[in-house]
Amino acid sequence: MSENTNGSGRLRKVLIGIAIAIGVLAFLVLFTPLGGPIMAAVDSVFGGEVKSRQQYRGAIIETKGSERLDVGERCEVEVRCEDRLFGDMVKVVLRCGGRALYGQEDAAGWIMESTMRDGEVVRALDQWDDEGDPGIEFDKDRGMVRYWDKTGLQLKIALEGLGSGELPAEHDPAGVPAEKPAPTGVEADAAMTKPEPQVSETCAPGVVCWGKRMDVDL
Amino acid sequence: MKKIGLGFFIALCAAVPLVIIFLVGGFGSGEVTGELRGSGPLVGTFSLAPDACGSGQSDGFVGVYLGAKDRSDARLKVFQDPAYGEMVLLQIPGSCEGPRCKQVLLKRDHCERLSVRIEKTNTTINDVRVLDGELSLKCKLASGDAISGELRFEGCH
Repeated sequence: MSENTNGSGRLRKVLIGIAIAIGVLAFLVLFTPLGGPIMAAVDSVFGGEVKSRQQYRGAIIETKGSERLDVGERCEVEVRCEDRLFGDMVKVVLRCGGRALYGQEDAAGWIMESTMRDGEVVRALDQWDDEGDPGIEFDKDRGMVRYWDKTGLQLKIALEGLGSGELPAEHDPAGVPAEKPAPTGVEADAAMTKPEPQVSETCAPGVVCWGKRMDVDL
Repeated sequence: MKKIGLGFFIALCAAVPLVIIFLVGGFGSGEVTGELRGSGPLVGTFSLAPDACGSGQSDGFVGVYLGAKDRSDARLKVFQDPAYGEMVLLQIPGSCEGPRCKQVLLKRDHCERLSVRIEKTNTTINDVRVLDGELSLKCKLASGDAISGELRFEGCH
């Protein structure tokens, strides 16, 4: 009887110890700088296959900022989608004039906002600049990469063989197509004959449209 | 005795992370006050009084989502873009038809008043910077629809 009681007591102590260890680990992951490396290690262990790898060459067509790179400087862009622990994730690596500007070959730094089409990444956006992280926008349809960082450096890069390589003046970062010019001539006359405005199928600024439902839990 | 010990262990394992998440507000976040109102031929008549918010950091933008906890169709996205300035993407409450909803992207060009303030606090939770701020707008669209109101939000993460 006494041995049985002692055995139960030991077991309980062991289990409490394990529970405390789990709690400490949860605290480290949630609230300390160790969380990043721990999650990165887990992510690298469980990282899966590369689903798509797109490589482009391009050139800087516009620069601003103190640490200027020259217009015409050659750039290389790699856009990769991998089947990772938390689902499909996208990474962009940008190098211009031999300088690594964006993207690192480690488990961190994945881009959260991206659009896939026909198994390829057509758009990727990182505009969070907290703690000096640089921002980047890759747009395959426009054949363009936009980059900016805390030093004030801003670049526009046109990609070879894609789109026009130029950002339209009214390009919208919300993923909404640019505003169409006001109708003129016959188009304007046709518009005048419409008795009531219709909900647009194309989302442009200032126009009520049918957009993709915002699925975000609050 | 063993059964009591195992039950205690399982309860403790479940409770520790849950208590931590609860303490930092892992389920929903922030406080929102104020109201947006709209009326017109396309948006109908609506009022939206968000009671929850979340940071856009995990979605890669500088800004917040605001909305009503109990209504998944009542959502708006308030953000600042370094190149394009302040913008609001408003999903019209009650307008959703399956995966599609009536939405409108508001920029200063379309508004008599569109003021967005988003402040990064010194607090981070789960590596997400907590945001405070406010939104004030008065917009008249070419379709004749009008949308206006003011919102304040705090502790969004």
